[in-house]
Amino acid sequence: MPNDHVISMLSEYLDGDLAAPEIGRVELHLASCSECRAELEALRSIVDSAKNLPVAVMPTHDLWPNIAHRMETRSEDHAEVQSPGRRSAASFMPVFRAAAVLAVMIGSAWYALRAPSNGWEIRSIAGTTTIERNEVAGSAALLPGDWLETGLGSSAFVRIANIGTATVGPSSRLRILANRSAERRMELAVGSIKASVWSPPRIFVVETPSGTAVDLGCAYELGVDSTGASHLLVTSGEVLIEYRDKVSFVPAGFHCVTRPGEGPGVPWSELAHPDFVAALGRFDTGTDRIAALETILDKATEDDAVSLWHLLTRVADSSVGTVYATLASHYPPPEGVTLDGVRRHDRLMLERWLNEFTTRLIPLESISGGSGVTVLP
Amino acid sequence: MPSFPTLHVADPGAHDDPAFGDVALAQRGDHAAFERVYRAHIGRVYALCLRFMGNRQLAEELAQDVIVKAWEALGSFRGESAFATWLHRLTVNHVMFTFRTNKRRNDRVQVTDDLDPYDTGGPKNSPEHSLDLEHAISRLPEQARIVFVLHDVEGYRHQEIADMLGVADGTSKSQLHRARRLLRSVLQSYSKGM
Repeated sequence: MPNDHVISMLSEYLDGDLAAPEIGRVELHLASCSECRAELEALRSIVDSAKNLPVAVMPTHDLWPNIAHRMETRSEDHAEVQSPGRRSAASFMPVFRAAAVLAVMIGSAWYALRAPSNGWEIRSIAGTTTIERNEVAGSAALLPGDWLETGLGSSAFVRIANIGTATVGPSSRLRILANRSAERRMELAVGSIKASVWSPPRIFVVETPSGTAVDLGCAYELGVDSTGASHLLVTSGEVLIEYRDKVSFVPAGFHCVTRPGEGPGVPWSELAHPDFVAALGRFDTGTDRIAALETILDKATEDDAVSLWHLLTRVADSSVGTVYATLASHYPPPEGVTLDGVRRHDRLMLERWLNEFTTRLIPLESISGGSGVTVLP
Repeated sequence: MPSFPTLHVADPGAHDDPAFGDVALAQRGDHAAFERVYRAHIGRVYALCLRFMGNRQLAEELAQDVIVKAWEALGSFRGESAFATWLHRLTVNHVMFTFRTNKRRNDRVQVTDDLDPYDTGGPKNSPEHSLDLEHAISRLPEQARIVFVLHDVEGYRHQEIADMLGVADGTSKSQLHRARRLLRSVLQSYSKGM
């Protein structure tokens, strides 16, 4: 039983933050548990390594031209309140201004050359990539509606307008469905992509046969198999997967599977126990859900809070209380969040609780506001 | 017995600050001197920003903000601490302010497979391991990453972190535990070549 271990106390033990009785309990357990000893050593190694990280890391290009330009702009804006000392710097201004203007001109020209246009640029990385069955040699533009296909063992680079990039994996088929500044929407019929997106939330959207991935500002990997099922792994930020009225919220470090006709399942953490993950699969597909839920609740740890949170609105009414209690044992509900409210699927209560264990520092409604899409399942 | 790590806040002011004369000149409005100050300190500022943001593009933007802010606030530096220490505090405060007000939320960039940001100059210990750890840190969820960087890299205490982030002391501890376990998982996957 995981609860017999002291893994959840090891971090504080390592930092000397435990009280004496707890230290005794941890050390007694460590003496007889190689698994927890290994965990402790791994954590210690990370802590030691963090202390030895380099103090300085240089940016890949000189930031000074931009800084100089901003300083000059500020100086001009605040000329009337500058100190006498600052004012004496006026003699530097002509040279400084000329240098800054030149730097901005060079920077603008560089950006104009480098910055992607509104279009999607395709570049073959390995093997064969085609657009509408015409092989891509060098780079090419992908137009809305045209199918991009990669061959077996092939891959391609995609610059998604000016909002991100993606690597398309082997045996993939995709096309652009919409390409406006407010919406970059594509369809991934089969295959895989690895995307990094820096647009505001909800601009980049990927449709698959079994669900739609809505980017909230992130990086992720998404694969679609020949049956239309998909598997998402979010590596940074968050993604919503929607299918009809079903939505899963997938933060960094979490996986989620979508199935044809069913939509997104319950997401699970990379740290989740394999039995927990397997039970989630059985729960999602309706295979002996009662037994699956028992395993899920038995194996759940604090790392599985996001999964438990999804279950609050997906289990039968009779099981909500048990899921509520299990989640509460890891992350007590914030003040004002009640079992009755959760039973009613009270959106604000659920979102407040979610904020207790996800990494977002802002209310969820400020992300989803105005979109008409709720994050709730 | 548990080890009791010593407080690990880097005190750049422990040594003579070669840019001290330039700081004084910059305070009198000398842009050229301030550029020399920038070049002497940008590596430290950028390293902090990069680890907090987990992303090169945002880190560069934030580092620029910090330097411009330093220029504007230069008059408040009275030499009571080393300039590097003052700039370090200003950087941390600005990053925390940014997160609290969330003004960059809609601009955030999360690139996780780009090792370029770390493949640059600066002193390194066991470069390969540092790169793996840097990369793994960049993959952490936001709050876990901030808490890990503040506690394990910068040496802040949980109470200080909790005050900065406006969260409970226990939240800081649980996020640190979560960050370390996630890092362990990611580093394990690296070592297996996944």
